[in-house]
Formats: sequence, C-alpha cells, structure tokens
Amino acid sequence: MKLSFTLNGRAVQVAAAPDQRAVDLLRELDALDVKEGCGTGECGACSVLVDGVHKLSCLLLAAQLQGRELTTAAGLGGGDPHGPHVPHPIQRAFAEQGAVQCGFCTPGMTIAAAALLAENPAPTRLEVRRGISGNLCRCTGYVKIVDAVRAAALELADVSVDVSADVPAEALSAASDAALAYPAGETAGDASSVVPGAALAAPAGDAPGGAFSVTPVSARVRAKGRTTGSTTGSATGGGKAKAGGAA
Amino acid sequence: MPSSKSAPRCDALAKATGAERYALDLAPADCLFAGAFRPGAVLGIAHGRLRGLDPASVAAALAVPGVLRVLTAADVPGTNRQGIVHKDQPVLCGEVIRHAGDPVALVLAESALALRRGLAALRADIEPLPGVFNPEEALKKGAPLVHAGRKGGNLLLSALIEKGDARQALKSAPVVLRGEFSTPVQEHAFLETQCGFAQLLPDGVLDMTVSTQAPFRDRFEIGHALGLDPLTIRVRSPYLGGGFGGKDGSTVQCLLGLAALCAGGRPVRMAWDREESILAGYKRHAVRLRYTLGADEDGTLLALSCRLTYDTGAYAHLGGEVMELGMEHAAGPYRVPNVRVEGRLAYTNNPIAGAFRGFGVAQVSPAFEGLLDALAAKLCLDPLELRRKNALHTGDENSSGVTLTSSVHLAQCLDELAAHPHWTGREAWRVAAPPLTRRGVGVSCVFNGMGYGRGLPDMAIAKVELTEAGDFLIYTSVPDMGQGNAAAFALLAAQELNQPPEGIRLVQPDTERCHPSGSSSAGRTTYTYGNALLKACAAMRAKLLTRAAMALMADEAEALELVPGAVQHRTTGRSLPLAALARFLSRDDRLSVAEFLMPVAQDRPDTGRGFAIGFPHLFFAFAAHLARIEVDELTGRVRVCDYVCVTDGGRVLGRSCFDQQAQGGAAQGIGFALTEDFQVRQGLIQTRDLSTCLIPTALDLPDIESLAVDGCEPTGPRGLKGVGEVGLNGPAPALAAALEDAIGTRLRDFPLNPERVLAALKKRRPSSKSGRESGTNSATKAGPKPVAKLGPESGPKPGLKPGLKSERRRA
Ligand code: FES
Ligand code: FES
Repeated sequence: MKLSFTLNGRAVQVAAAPDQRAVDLLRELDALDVKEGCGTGECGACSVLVDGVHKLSCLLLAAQLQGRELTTAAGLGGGDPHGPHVPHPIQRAFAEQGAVQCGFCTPGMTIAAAALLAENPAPTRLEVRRGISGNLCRCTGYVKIVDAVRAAALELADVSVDVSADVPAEALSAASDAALAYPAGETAGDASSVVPGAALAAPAGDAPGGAFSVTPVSARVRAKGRTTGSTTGSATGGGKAKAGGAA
Repeated sequence: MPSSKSAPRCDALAKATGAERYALDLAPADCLFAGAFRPGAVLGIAHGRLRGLDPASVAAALAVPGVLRVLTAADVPGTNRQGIVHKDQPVLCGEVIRHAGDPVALVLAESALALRRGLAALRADIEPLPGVFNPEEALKKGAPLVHAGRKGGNLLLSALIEKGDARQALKSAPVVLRGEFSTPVQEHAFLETQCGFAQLLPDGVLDMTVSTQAPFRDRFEIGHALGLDPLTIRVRSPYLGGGFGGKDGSTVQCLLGLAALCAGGRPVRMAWDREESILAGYKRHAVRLRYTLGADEDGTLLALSCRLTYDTGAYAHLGGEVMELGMEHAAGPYRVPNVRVEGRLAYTNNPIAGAFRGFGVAQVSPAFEGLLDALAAKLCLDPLELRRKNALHTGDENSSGVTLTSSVHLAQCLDELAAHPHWTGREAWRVAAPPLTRRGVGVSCVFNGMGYGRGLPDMAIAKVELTEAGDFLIYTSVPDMGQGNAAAFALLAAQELNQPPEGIRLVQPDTERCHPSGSSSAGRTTYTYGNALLKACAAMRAKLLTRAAMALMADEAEALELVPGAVQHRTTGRSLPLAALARFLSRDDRLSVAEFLMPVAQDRPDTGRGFAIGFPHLFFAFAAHLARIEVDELTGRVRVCDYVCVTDGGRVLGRSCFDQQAQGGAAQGIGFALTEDFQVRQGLIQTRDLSTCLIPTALDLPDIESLAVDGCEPTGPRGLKGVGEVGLNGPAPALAAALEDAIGTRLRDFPLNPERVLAALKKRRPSSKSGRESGTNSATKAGPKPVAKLGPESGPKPGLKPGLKSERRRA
C-alpha cells in the first residue's frame, strides 16, 4: 500500500506492505537511529514519537504510520534538515552528563526523555526513573541518564516562569551537581510507595494505536512478568510474577 | 556527583543524536539475509544425533520465493571447527547437536521475510541422546559424553593452585569455617544483538563488518573453520552496542563468512534476534564452590582451600581461561599464606559459557566474601575491620604467590567506605525499617586481574597519522563496546600531542588499516593500547619538531613545541601550521607506530598446575562496595536502597568515564545477584526474552555512588589501571551480606530471588508485625564462640538464642 507520513519534518511517500513493521520501514528509509534491541516491545530501543506520543516502532505496523507525524532521535534536534544537525538539549545533556556508553539504547532513551519532559517539564529523579523505565540500558546503571534528563529539564525550563510555577526549589538552584541529586527524602527506593499499579498501568487504547503507547509498554511487560501483578510494596520492577502471586 | 560538562566523551554526542553507525547500520541495501536453523530448541532436544534434514523440508524451503541456498555441514570448507583456544565447536553440526542452540543449517535468502519462511519450512531428524546438565554429574563415571571419543571425557580442564600447605594449616587453625556456594548462568543482554555483514570481494578477500570485541583474532578463528587464509579476511569493528565479553570470539562470524562464500559475491547480513541471541550466545559460567577457610583467633587468615566446578556447557570457548582467573582470585584480595584451589571445568549439554565481564571472578567473589563475613561473625569482629586487617598491600605476596609490585590501594578503598555515612550510620538506619520490612547493610571487597596474564603476551600496537589537513588520526585497533576506550585514546592523544579535541580523529578497528592489538577485554584495553598510543604520540611529536626545525630555522628541535594546530618556536613565537608541515612529508613520514607489552610477574611462582596460558596476573583493580537493602517480609523481594562503590583503578583519567564503569558494572552485578535468574532446565533455556531475563530497569536501581581512590599505577598510561571488570564482582557478596544482616541467614545460592528469601524467612522465626526489635538479626549470625572449631558452616541454626545478640554487640 501507499503510505504518506512525515518523518522528522520531511514528507515521505512510500509503498510498503501494510503488515511490515514500522521499525523495518523506518530503517529502510534510512532512519538508522531507530534501533532494534528485542523486536517484542521489551527494551525501548526502537522508540519514536508518533504525533508527539512515545511509541515502540517494533510493535507498530507500517500502515499505522499513515498520516502521522514521526520523530526519531535524529529529528529531535533542530537545524535545516539538509544542513548541519543541531543537537537537542536532551541529546547534549546526555553527552555532557556521561549518560552515553555503548549508545545503543540512547536514541530510544532520548525519545523517552523527550516524551517525559513534554508532559512533565520538571520531573524529580524518581519521576525520571519512572518515565524511562520502559527503556532498558545495560551499560550505565541509569544514574547519569537521570542526571542528563534532569539537566536537560533545567536547561529547557524557562526559569522565570518556573519560579512562579512552583517547581521544586532544588530544580532551580542552578545546574550545579547538587541540583542533580535527589532532594532530601526522595530516593529511587521510594518507588515502592508510588510505582504500583496506577502509575504504570494506564489504560490502553485511549488513542489511535494506543495499545502501543509508552504506558502500555509497562503493562505489556508486566503481563509478561517484569513486575508483579499485585505490586504490593514492590519497589523493584524486576521481580517475578509468581513472587507477586505468592504475596 | 561530578559534573562532566567540561569533557564529554568524544563519541557521546554522535551516539546521542543517533548519528553513530553500528555494524548493521552500515550494511548495504542490496544485502542477502543469512540465518541459522537451530532445531534443538524447537524439538526440546539438547543432546541428539542428527540423522539429517528432512529432504522434503529442504525442498520446501528452497521453494520459498527468495530462498537461495540451504547450507549444511557438508558445505563448510575447512575444518568446520571454531573456538578460541579449543577448536571444538562446529560452525554447522553434521552428526550431533550438543546443546539446544546448535545450528544444523544456514539459509540464504533475498529478504528477511524469505529467510524467515525458509527457516520455518526446515525440519531436522534428531534422535535424542541422554544428556548431562550438571557439571558434577558430568564428571562422574558413566556420564553421557558431550564430545564422544574425547580423551578426558567431559573434563575439559582440571587445574590446581597450591601455595604453602593448606591442608596442614587447616588442621591446626583455631577457627575453621566451611561453606558451599553456587552462582548462576548470566546472560549478557547487550542491547545490540550479535550481528554483521560480509562480502567475498573479487580479489578473494572476505570483507566483514561485525559487532566484535576481537577483530584480529576473529580472522584466525574464521580462517581455521572455513579453510581460508586468515590474512585474506578483513574484519572491521565499528562501535559495538554492548559486548561485556559476549562478543569475544566468533558469534555470527563463521556462519556469516560461510554465507558470504556461497553468495556469489553479493553482500550478506546476519543479525540474531533476541531469542536467538539468548539461545546461541555465550553465557557466564555457572559455578559450584566448596570452601574451607582457616583463621587465627584474632582474624588473621591462615589458610584457604576450595574446590570450584565450572560448567562450560557444550563447548570450551574461553572456559579454561575463565576458570583460571576465577581460581587466581579464589582467596580474595587478602594475604593468605596457605592456599589450595582446585578447579574443574566440565562439558555439559547446557548453553555455551564464555567470557563475561568479571570473567570467572564474579563467581568466586560471593564465596570468599561469604566466609569472611562468617568469620567476622564468629569472632565478633567488625566485617570491615576484618577485611582491612587481611587486605593486600603493594609488596605483599598474593594467593598465587605473586609479589605485588603493582599498585594496590585496597586499604584506601576500605578506609573510604569505613568513613561513609552509610556505614557509620548503619545501625540507626537498620532499626528504622518500616513495618513488614527488614533492613540490612553489607560490604564486600573485590578485585579483578588486568590483562591476559603470563604466557599470552598482552600487546598492542598503536598507529598515529598526521593527515594532510593537519589533524591526527588514531588507528584504534581495539574495539570500543561502550566502555569508552576510544574516547580515552582520543583524550590521551590530545594531551600528548597538545591538540584540541577536534584535532584528533579516530579510525575504528579494521584489520587492514590498523595493527593487531588484541581483544577488547580483560580490563586491558585502555592500559595496553593506551601505553602504546602514548609512545606513538611521543615519537610523532619528536618527529614533527625535528621536521619543523628547518622550516622554522631553529637549530634545535628542543626550542620547538607542539601547540594546537601548529609547531611553534618557544622564544620567538614563530609557528608552522601542521597542515603546512604535513605537505612537506610523505605519507610514510606522517605515520608513527609504537607497541607496548604489558609487564608480567617476574618471580613466576611455581604454584599453578594445569594452566596452559594466562597464569598468573600482576595487575589488579580493587574495590570495596556497600549495599543498603530493604527486604519485604511478605514478598521476599530485596530492594537496593543505596549502593556505594569505592574503586582503585589507579589514577583517574576521566572521572565521568570512570564512574560509568563503576556504576555500569555494579548495575550488572546487582542484576546478577538479585533479579536475572537465568533458568535452564535439561539444557533448555526457559529465560527466552527480556521480559523473563530481568536485567535491571531504571526503577530497580538506586543512584549508585561511585568513589575513586586516587592511586597511581606507575606502569599505566597516566597511571591508570583497567576498571571495566571489578565493579561487577562486588554486588553479589555485598548484597548477600546485607541480606544476612537483614534476615539473619546467609544465602549461598544465587540469585537472591524472592523465593529463596521467603524460604529463608519462613525457616526462621517470623518477625513481629511492627518489625523486629533493633538488632535482632545480628543475633542470628553465626555463633559468637571465638575459638570454636566448627563443622560445616551453613548459616545460623534455627532457634539460635536472641541473647547472643548482646554478646556480639559487646564485642
Ligand atoms: S526493539 Fe525492543 S522495544 Fe522495540
Ligand atoms: S548505553 Fe549501552 S545500553 Fe545504554
């Protein structure tokens, strides 16, 4: 079938089998920044923005791109599409904060970060962790990724507005190292009280292609056992379903 | 947390914007697709006699539009045997499959879809053979043989390290502790699966681009397997999307080479999907460990004896070398005068084990540290103090009998940890556990050898070129799998040549353009190649100054210096741009090549038996780790609340990169210790995807704190040592210690999954609803009798009296 959509600001018209996976089509279209790490919705490496919403292109079919606006990591930044690419502040922050090691997760991770910051311009460290929890990174241990997203948030925030917008004070205390640490009393550990169910399991199908939106990634993964069904007091998303059942 | 704003890694921005190209991104559009047929997993057979492919199914596969070839063992030229040290692994199996992921055919197709359909059409006729899935069973008489007819049966290697007389010393030691431990298989789970593409060029060169850690050695492995002259094979290795040891040795290489030989000169690509990556990829060795430790009443270690059994799975890969390193580290980073370490490496019909960050050492670490904690409990000593008391220092003889002339800053790591508020404030934190949870704090002390060890020269050859444009090219030759060595090379060269970062460009490893420099592994990459590079840069600088002297009319080259983009006369300030200087020089003259060979232990001890290569090591990175955990009494789940690593990696070249290694290693170690739980039953992998192989997500980890002790390794480039591996070794023992602190039982089988934790909690008296009394758990540590000689030490016995607590406290 003939498809037309926008890819990183450029109109694309392409013939594709309707059941072709979007990740394959995008890579054929030279969007090689879209990576495949699993092909089954578990790693987030193939993340793209579809009409501004974080989706996994390995779970999207080509036909679902029809008429949509797609942004991949390469399209996050600015500049003339034919001229030099101007990195997005998130991408610069990833580089500057040491959030990039092998870099294979990074394009997808920056997409997740962009989607997060669009919704929540001043996330706490825990909110960042939650926002990127559908994207796996095997290299970094995530500390510097969280640093980077927070640094980007600081840079992107219009400070004068933010002050009145009651952003946590520590978010405004300049882009110092201290500002990138957890505010007192907040640790990733507190996930236990916040993460369960509600936070991760937003209803699917709330938008076209919603079954593939970022939130259901967690739901999908949970269904397969990445976190427990009950999540009672569950802090680590990495437990086994059967443990949850035993609880 | 240090801001790294000043000096981001030179590879970071291109990776962050998605501009960087990995192996598969570089594949030409007209590639054919190759894929392996691995019927064992589908049939549920891990060991079987291959009667053949069903001819009708082959015809059906070939009838799929776009399927070009179905290749079998009969099509493999050469020996059809791959392997790094032992050539025991068929590229395609002809008679027997020895694990469920063994390939028996290779399909070549025009498209990914045709390949999938072709593979799906194939059927193999395999007669199941009795398998062996436990290394100790495999070593018994009458066990099914994994490699029939092999001399030595399933025993791939048996080795011994003996120093002093451990048996005698244990007989007279005032305190003797025993423990049995086991550590599981671990999956690398790099985000980029094994992949690459290849093409047979008209001049006969097999040109390959592969996600590989060892491009130079690959040529020999491929050449041997496929009957090719290794020097007609060109391997290029762009940035890897993760490796961690799992891309050391042939993954796709031999299959891909075979495909290219049969593709009529067209390029062919091969990429394992996640399931195949898990099925066929190399794993961390599962190990069983039996330990006996003897000590004096004051905690001085006297003797250690242990027996380690490593499961290498169906093929050797680097099993011998992995076990060697584990044995060398079996006694921990401590002074132990009498040591006896027996190692046995067995073939089984399990998935193939191979190199994995922490190379054999991650497995022994929870064992020696487990007994150290038991000893501390027995003698009522502070576990950190006990470690400090026995810690190795420079000049000490280690457990292999090597006198450590290299840098050892373990004591500083421990000092740093001892002063950390998480340690000094541990009691208060512990007793503040919320209801239905228990808290615990544990520490561990670990180390990891650097380099290949004696008998396998650890060498690198660096090449630097001044380009006509006046900037410098570094021919890196050791792949960067994400650890940042490429960026470290660029930084070292920029410093040595006094150039701005943009004056240095990197050529990624390419066997045709770069010089052999060994694999990206063993914590050696930056050390060995970095040293060679510094020499090459120094020679380059000297040469350029001499060459510029004439143009600048300087009588002595010493009057000149390299400045960004130019050579400058110190006193007059006259300068010659490098681009102008480059035009005077022929290409040959614009090159500088230098090599470096890692020093080895001079007083080669006579302690090791059975090691072919790689024993012993001289350089080690050290670390002390601390974990604070919370255990959910209802679910048995362990949550890591805080994690601290203090690392001695010599001098720190780039702090951000150093912390990346510490944090990333610890994160993988935490996954190994707690959640990954890789399951293999009867040789069949149950953990087949990333939803069951639970590598940590951002919500599973705390902000891992990385601290550095600023040691200096005099032989290192700018004083550094390799820190890539040591971080992985700390979490398993630190978390087991923290768990013991929390629940009173030492778990010795890993991972510390909720099932095991719950079982341990159930065995013990259930705690009161409001959480337990402060410090109750310490009571449950091994008894306080300081001088008693104990039998098997398998954790505290049920019903230990709470009163013991105070005794320990008082002490
Ligand atoms: S490739 Fe892993 S989620 Fe799409
Ligand atoms: S940087 Fe390698 S997977 Fe994230």
